[in-house]
Amino acid sequence: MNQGVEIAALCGWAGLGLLLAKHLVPRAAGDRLGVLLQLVLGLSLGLGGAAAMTLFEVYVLHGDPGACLAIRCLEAGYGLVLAILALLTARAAPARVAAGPPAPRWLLLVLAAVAAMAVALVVHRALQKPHGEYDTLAMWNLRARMLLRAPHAFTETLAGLPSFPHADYPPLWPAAVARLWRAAGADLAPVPLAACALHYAGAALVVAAALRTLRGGALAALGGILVLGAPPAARIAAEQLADPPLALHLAAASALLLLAAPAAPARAFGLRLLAGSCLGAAALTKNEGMAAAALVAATCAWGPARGLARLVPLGLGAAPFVAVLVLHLRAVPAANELLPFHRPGQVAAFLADPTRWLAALLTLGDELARFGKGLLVALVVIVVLLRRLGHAAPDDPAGAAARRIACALALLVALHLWIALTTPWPVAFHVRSTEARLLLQLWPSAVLALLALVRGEGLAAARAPSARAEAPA
Amino acid sequence: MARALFLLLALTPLFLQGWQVRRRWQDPPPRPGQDSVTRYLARFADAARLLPATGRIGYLGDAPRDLVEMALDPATGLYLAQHALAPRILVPGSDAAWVLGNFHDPAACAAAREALGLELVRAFGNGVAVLRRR
Repeated sequence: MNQGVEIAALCGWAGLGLLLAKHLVPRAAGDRLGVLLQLVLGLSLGLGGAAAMTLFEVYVLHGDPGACLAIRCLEAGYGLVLAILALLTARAAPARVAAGPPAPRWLLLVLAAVAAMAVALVVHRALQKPHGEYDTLAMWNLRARMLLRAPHAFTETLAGLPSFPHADYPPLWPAAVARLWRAAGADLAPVPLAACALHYAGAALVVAAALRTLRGGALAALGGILVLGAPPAARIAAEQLADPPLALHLAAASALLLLAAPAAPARAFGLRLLAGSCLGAAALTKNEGMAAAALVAATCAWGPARGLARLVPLGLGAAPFVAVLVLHLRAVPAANELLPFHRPGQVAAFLADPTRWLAALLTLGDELARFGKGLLVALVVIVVLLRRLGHAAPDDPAGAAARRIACALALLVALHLWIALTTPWPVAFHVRSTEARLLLQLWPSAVLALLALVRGEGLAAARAPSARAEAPA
Repeated sequence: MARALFLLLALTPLFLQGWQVRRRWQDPPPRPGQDSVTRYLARFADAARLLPATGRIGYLGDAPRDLVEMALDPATGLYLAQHALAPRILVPGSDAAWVLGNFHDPAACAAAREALGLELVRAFGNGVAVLRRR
C-alpha cells in the first residue's frame, strides 16, 4: 500500500488524539509540561486507535486490500479535516488550572541526569539485542510481522500453532508496530524499539505532568526520577515487549482520573472519557491490562457520591477498544491459557496446599522487596513517613482518587498471586518469572498514586545541593 | 527529617542508574548488525528466495547453539525461522509439500531427510536446507 497514504492515515489518528487531548486535558498557563502531557496522551491514543482499526480490518474485513485502502484514504481524509480544525482552534483558550510551585533546579538536574543515563542504557541494550527478548521474537514482533506482510492470513496464526504461541494474548501492540512499520516502508528493527522506549518515557512524562498540576514541581520531578530511574525500567523499555505501552496506558488512565477528581462535572466527564479510552487500550494490550482496567474501573465506582455515574464516561471511552477485544477473543479458537486450569476441584486442592501459599508469599515478598533494587519498598515507607511528619496531602478529591488507584494496583498484585496459586505450574517459578514485568507495568501508576498522597511544599526547598538557585516556592 | 527522606528518595535512583551504566560500560555491545540473532536470521535469506511466498511450510530442526542470552531449545530455532520467513506459516513436521530443515548439525539434517523420505532441493551449507516431499 502507498506509504504516503499510510503516513497520512497515521497523522489522521494522531490529529484526532491531539485534538481530544488539547480540548479535554487541563493545564496551567505557560506550563510546557502540560503541553507535553497533551502531546503524549494524543499520540498514544492516536496510535492505539490506528492499531485497533488495523485489527478491525483483520477480524471483520479479513485484510481485504481494497477495503483496507479505502479505510486508509478515509483516515487520511479526516486527518486533513482534523489538521484544519487544530489550526482553527489553536488560539482557543485551553482548559486552565492553577500551577503548583515549580521544582528546584537541583532536582531538575538530577532528573536530567537520570533521563540521560536511562537513554544510555536503552541504547546499550538496543545494540546488544536489536531484535529484543525471547518473548519479543516469539510473540509480539512476530505477530506484527504477520500483520504487516499478510494481514489476510493473520487469523490463521491464532489457531494455536507451535510457531505462534500464546495466540490469545491481546494484539494491540503488534498492530501498532505493524502500522508504524507500514508508515516506515519496511519492518526495520529500530522502529518497535524506539516506539517501546518512547512509550515508557511517555509514562514518566504523564506522571510528572499530573503531579505538577496536582502537587507542584518538586513532586513532579521526583515522580519522573523514580519512573525513569527504577533499575529494570531502561532494560525492559528496550526489549520491545508490550509492558512499556501497557505502563503508559495505565499511567495515563490514572493521571486522567486524578485530574478528573477535582474538576467541574463537564470537564471531569471529558477526562474520564479519555481515561476510559486509555483503560480500553490497556485491556487490548495484555491480559494484565484487562484485569487492571476492570479493577481501576471498579475502584473508580467505589466511593462517596455518584460512584456508578463515574463509570459511564469510562465505559464510553473504552467501548471501541473493548469491541475489538471481543472480535479478537471470538477469533481465537483456544480460550485464555489460564482459564482451563480454573476448575473448582483443582483450584480448591491448590488453595488447600500450605506449601504453595508459603512459596507464593515468600517469592512475592522477595520480588516486591527486590523491585528497583528496593525502590518500591523505599517509596512506600518514605511516603508513609512523610505523611506522619506532617506532609500528608490535603484531604482533597485527588487524594481520594489516588487512594482508589493505589487499592486497584494492590488488588492486581493480589490477583497475580491468586493466578500463580491456582495454576499448575511451579508457583515460585511462576511468580519469579512474571512479577518483575507486572511491577514495571504498574510502577508509573504506583509512583503517581503514592506521591499524590504527599504535600510537596517545603520538601525540596532547603538543604539541597544548590538551594540558592531555587525558584521561590 | 522530611527533607532528608525526600533527598534520599530523589538521589537513590541517580546512584542506582549510575551503577548500572558503569556495569554496562564494562560490557561493550557488538557492532550494529553483528549480534547473534541478526546473524542467525540472515541464515534463512537464501531459503526465503526458494520457498513459496505464502502458505504452510513444514519445519524440522534442532536447538540453535550460537545464540547469546537466548534459550537454546528447538522452539527458539522455530520462532526465529518463522520471523525470517513470515508471512509463510511454519508447521513442525513434514506433512507440507515444502519443508525447511534448520539443523545445527548437517548430518542430523541428512538423517532426518532419509528417515522421512524427503527430497533435498538445496542445502545452503549453514545448516539450513529446503526439502520437498517425494
